[in-house]
Amino acid sequence: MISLAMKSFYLWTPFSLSEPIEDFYSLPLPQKWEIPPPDFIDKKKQRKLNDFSKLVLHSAIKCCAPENRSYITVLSSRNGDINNAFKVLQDIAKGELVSPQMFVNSVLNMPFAHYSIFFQNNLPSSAISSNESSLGYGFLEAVLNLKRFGGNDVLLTCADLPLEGDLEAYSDTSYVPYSLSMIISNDDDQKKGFCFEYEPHTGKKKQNRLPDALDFYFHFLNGNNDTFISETPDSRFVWKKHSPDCIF
Amino acid sequence: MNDELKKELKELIISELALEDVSVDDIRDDQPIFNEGLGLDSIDALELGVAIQKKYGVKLKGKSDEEVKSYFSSINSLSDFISRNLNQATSQ
Repeated sequence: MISLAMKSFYLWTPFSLSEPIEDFYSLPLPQKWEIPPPDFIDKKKQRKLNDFSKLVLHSAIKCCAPENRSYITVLSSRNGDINNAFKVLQDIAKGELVSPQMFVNSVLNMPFAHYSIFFQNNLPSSAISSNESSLGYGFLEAVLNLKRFGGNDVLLTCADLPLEGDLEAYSDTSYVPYSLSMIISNDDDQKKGFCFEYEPHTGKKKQNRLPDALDFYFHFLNGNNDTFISETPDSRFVWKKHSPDCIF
Repeated sequence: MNDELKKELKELIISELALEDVSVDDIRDDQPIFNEGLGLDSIDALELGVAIQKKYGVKLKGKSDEEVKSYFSSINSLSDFISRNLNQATSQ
């Protein structure tokens, strides 16, 4: 059991976050939605960002205080920029020339590579992808980095875009686009404190209607539940608030 | 032909490199394309090289890196290189 503090968090989805959670489950994906423009950097740099980087950086920047952009960064995503990575692979298979910019952006840790360059953040950065356990393993990576590089907080972002085209058939949860950023520290702060636990697991997979990160936001971060459990066939993650009146 | 090619190259640079705030008239023929000029970087150079190869069938290669860099120094040098290689391909 590891004790942590949630200093701040921010979620972006194209839906209104004031909708009741049950309505949110049944909402169809809006026909037209746009990721907010990356107006935190000048236009010349904006053109280097693909949609996935814009998505990740939008919530990451909203989550941090403007006077502090120095964090250990962890990106956790089930698919990353798989839609474009798939196009790159298709071009290679057809023997066509591959766009170098698309190739660069297909690397999973690219959003936080951009963050490091834009904000001269020289703290360690990593990216993780672990299918439906990506939220849990993202936290585990954040915890390891807090221990490894003590004295700095972790900016953890969990984000995904809907699968498109031929890949759409592989969606097994409602693939709403989302990006959830959190600043996690190992400070001893009872009001913002929670425990995190991981154990190997051989149970059944929970049938999720939304990605884990969204359930986590609605029920735990911004909800009344004291405990959140994520179970997959090979892992079990538990988050538990230190006290019932804990306010993140 | 060369003026038309220069205009096409400027349009190609703007569209392929997503230079939203730049128009054809903003790019001078003798202006450096990279670094202090349009502020493009090495990934932009690779992207532009791929776009030129797709559009004109001309591969940007030379005896040395410096030679290849010199093709990218301005719209004038780029259009000279492409028209020279287009002509060679046509005469072969």
